[in-house]
Amino acid sequence: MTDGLRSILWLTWQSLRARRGTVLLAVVAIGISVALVLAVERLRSDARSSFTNTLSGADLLVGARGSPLNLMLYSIFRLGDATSNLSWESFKHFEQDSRVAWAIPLSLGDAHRGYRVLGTDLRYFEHYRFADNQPLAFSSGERFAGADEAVLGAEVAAELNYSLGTELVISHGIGAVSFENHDDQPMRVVGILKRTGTPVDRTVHVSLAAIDAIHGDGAHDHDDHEEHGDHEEHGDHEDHGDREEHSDHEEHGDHEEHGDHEEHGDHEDHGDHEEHGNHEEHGDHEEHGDHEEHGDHEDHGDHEEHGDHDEHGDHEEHGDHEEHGDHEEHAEHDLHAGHDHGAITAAIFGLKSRTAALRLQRDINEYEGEPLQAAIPGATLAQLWSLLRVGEQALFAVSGCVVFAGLIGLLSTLLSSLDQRRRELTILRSVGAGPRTVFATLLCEAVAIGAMAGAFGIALTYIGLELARPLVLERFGFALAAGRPGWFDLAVLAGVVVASAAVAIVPAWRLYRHSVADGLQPRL
Amino acid sequence: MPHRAIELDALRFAYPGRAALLDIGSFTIEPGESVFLQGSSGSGKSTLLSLICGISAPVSGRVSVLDQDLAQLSAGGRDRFRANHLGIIFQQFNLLPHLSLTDNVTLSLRFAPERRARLNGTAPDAEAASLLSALGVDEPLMTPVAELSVGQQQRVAVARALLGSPDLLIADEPTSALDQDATDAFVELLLSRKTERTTVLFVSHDKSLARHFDRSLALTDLNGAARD
Repeated sequence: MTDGLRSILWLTWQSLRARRGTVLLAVVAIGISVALVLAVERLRSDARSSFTNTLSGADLLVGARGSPLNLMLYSIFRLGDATSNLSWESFKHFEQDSRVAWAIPLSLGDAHRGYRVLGTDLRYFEHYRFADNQPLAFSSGERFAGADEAVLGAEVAAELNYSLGTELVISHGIGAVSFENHDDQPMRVVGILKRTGTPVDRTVHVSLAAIDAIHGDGAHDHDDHEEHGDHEEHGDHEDHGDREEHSDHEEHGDHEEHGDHEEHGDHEDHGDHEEHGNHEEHGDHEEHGDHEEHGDHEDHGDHEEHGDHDEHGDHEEHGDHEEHGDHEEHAEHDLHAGHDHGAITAAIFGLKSRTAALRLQRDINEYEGEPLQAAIPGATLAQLWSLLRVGEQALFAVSGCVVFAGLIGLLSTLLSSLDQRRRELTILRSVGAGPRTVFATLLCEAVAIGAMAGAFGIALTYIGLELARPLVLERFGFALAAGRPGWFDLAVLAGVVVASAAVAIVPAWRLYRHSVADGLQPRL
Repeated sequence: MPHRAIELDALRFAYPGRAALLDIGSFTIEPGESVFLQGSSGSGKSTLLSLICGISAPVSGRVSVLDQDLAQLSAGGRDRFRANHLGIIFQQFNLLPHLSLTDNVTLSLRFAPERRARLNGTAPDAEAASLLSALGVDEPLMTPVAELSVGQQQRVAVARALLGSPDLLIADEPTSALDQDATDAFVELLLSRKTERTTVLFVSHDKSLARHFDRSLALTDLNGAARD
């Protein structure tokens, strides 16, 4: 290092030290504006990355007809709510399509202490992929095996301090606070997933059967009453519109465990099966005797529409309830693909060949059974980015203006202190510092302020984002990556340094042109 | 050793739009000489010194310092020349208030490699401490000069001018804030610290100080403009 450069750096340091108050304010002002730019970029890139990483390997999202974007937001990112449901029959219809390799049913609409509850079945754990085709993995425990079991996302377990065996109660609706808790259907935590950095972490996973039980919905695909040879034996079933209950009776031997049938006593009010209770919960003949008290079962028509007895081909084999007493066995059966459920919110489909996606999408969109839509995740995300682009650009423009305002503030600081600096720099000139040294010193000060502001902005950004991460995840459903400053940050830092130097050129040039005599007021 | 410490020839200076302030036909100071220049307030003493230091430029005429015609130097060149060869005690001291005693004293050496070389390997800070001690400044060396009394600031300014044994020592009314006893003591101290080869040009309105110097003259005797 040359003597000249060493002198410039020394003078710069001394000057910054002497003006530390003003310098600090300039650094904070510019640093905050830098942080704004960086935070906008980080939020943008992390949002994209998080959204992109949330779902991998899926070819179609299927839900009730509406906006594909909305379908993706509520079904995958847990943002917003579904406007309508997808019937189980339709799901089964397309699940059995030869082009479909796998399908995952999703049932949303409930929460536990603000965390969304997802009803699904075991296929979710088999086929769901995130990031680069990574499967879900358990940090402890295992998949749910019964309607009273739950699997927690990593964030849920960590935030609520839940562990295996913890009991939880699901609330109706998706708010953090609900007055409608399903206290009668406590769930036991049997598994905790490893962290994924996606909304999965903030999800409580339960079986569809559990959702059905909570909402008093039933599986609706059952044989005609006539096919249940034991109906007559079970009291007034023929009067009870809810056939699903009959099939459940056959499968549940542990009648004593299902004493709350009366709680689903509003069966009479529901014309469709989807709104009726959980078969698993209603097993015993004695309870069916109670159905007589609810009467009006004749009003529940169109049972024929809820058939799919083929999937319950074993029902006929269970004429005697006592012979089917293994509730666990039933629950296990219920968790797999073959069992029927009430309406679901959406479904994820993986295809045997991606080339079939467009055709199957069209078939689903034109399905006559009910108004459905299928969305291709990649295309829907592209649509989302397209929508967000204007907002992103506006945010960048605003944050760029804030940086510009910060730099103008720096210029103002430099110019306003010029009179004071003039005498100081003239003294330097009078003791031998050349005009170039004075020019370079002022420029170096500005560069130092810019560099410190940039570094402060970067630190502020990363600390702020780290602190905001839980909030962003909770409010916006995406995970901010815990990363180190990258090229963009360094580019912004370099930009701020260069801009600071550019801003300082004007006052530095004025001092450069300034004669020593002017500063000393022609007195020595 | 230069032939002339200071040589002025047909020097004329005026502020823009105003009458000539200085009009000096010829004036010379020999190397190693100590000269007292007396002049009343507003007579152009400080302006003359600024011309000799290369801080201001004459309207016409020649200013030669240590055989160097200052007009031949660029602005940066004059700054370097000043740093390497001149020690200046300003009337208002011109210390940088946020710098410490030591930093103020060694400031000019940062821009003056030739003068630094005259320390013969002694660290500037050590030389500054020695000089300050000799001048009676007992404050801690890292004390900002803004916290010093006027008398101590004056000594710091003297130490800065003397450090590195400049060829030409210029003092502009350095005793204006001192009483008579302190003034005499200060001048004696200043002259005692100069080396044999150092030329001194001391400017003051106080005629009584003339007795300390080899030669004394009044600016009015030199300045034709003042006589007009």
